[in-house]
Amino acid sequence: MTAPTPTGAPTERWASTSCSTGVDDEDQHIDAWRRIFDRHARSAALTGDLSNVWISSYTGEPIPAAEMDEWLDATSDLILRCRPRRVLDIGCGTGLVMSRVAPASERYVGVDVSPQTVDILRRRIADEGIPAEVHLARADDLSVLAGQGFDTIVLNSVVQYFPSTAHLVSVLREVSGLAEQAATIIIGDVRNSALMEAFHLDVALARSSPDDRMRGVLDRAARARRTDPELVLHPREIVEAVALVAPQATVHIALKRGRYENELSRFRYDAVVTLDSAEELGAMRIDLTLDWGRDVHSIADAVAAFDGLRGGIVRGVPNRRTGWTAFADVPLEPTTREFMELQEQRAAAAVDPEVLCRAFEHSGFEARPSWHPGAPCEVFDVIVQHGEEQRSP
Amino acid sequence: MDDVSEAGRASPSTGPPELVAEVRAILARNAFVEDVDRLADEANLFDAGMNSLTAVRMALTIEDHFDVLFADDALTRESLGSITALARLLEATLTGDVGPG
Repeated sequence: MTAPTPTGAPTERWASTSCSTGVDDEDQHIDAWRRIFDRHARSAALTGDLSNVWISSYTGEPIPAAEMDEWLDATSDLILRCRPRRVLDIGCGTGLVMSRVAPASERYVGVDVSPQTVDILRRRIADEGIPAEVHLARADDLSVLAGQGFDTIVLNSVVQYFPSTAHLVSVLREVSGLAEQAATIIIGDVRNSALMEAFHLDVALARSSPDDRMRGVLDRAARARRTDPELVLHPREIVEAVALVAPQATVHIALKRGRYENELSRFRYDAVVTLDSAEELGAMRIDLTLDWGRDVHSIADAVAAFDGLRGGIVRGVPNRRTGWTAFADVPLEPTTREFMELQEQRAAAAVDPEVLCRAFEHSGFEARPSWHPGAPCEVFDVIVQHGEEQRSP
Repeated sequence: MDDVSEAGRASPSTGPPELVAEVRAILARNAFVEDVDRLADEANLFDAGMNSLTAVRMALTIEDHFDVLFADDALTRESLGSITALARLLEATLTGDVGPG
């Protein structure tokens, strides 16, 4: 699922060439998506009021408005926490993030690859008085903004339409030319390649009958995985791409905040790139590092262990959201009903990242649920720092 | 007599069979929705997991394949909502009932 909700490889005409990685093919890939987004923007009869609604891959129904709001709030919060002043929003689409963040920043510039989408957003900016401007540009050619500087650069729900990881590197190179020294780059809503088997299994399960055998469900999931047209990225690939362009930067792979559990919170992440890592690391206080299952076994114990401390990390917490992450693990013979019972048993022993974070926040800490790029994604870490308001009355 | 005229007429309610088959093949080839083989011609594609962007991608692919252009306002959740509906949209466009807007 995706924003104004995509799941799509461009059209047949170039689908056969999409595996090669030449520059021409990359251009074709981007042009194909541009054509799709253009037509999507023009097809008001099709999209209508639904243009900001995402459709659940599980049910085909719109994702409930409350969950979409929470998703958008979490994304906005992530950006606003950077205290943005000059924001560049690459792939701004119809302005979902812009309408929330622009009023809180000094300057907000959006760019998008689709001329029709840019037209629609320009009208929206004028109609609603959003303090922002928008330009037509490809993410890897931002010459229209030459000479300008930004402290916060956002690519939200965009990289899945990139043709390759190499293209992400080109875009990061282009972006770094506009980034101020201490800028933050937020690569948001990235589909985690380590969890794509789990995602497609989950969807196939939701669409199966209780008496279907898991063998068939897995076949359908594997087929869907093979035909999934969007770019998916392992957290490690983001870290490596950033390191090629900005070796001094730190990358934080953030799990989605939010109480809702859907495909957005389970299988996607936000990469927060801090260009001036010295400042980021210098401000961090690590008084304690705990391993879940060895040092602590419950949320209450974990929070209690940090009493009086400035901050630290809880590592290796089993992630309730991700469930079965690899096909190799899944038993073939049970029915889906039996399998889902097994799944619930597993989930019962795991931790909801949001619940853990809120427990820390209740005790005055800031909490960031994270995927360590070198660790398996069925576990997560939480980085906690005592809130500034507690330190300075 | 009746049998012959029934078979020879493209029923407006079901769409012409050869277009239905071609549309079905395009959907299967591109996996715009999963398990096309298990879907009835009338089954709702949005219920089967298709979203609006995939619907547009599908419409563009059909346009390319048949070298036609659908009118923007002809693309609706109804006209793209099933294999039958797609075949009807295609037939109307091919015969000029709905010209490019």
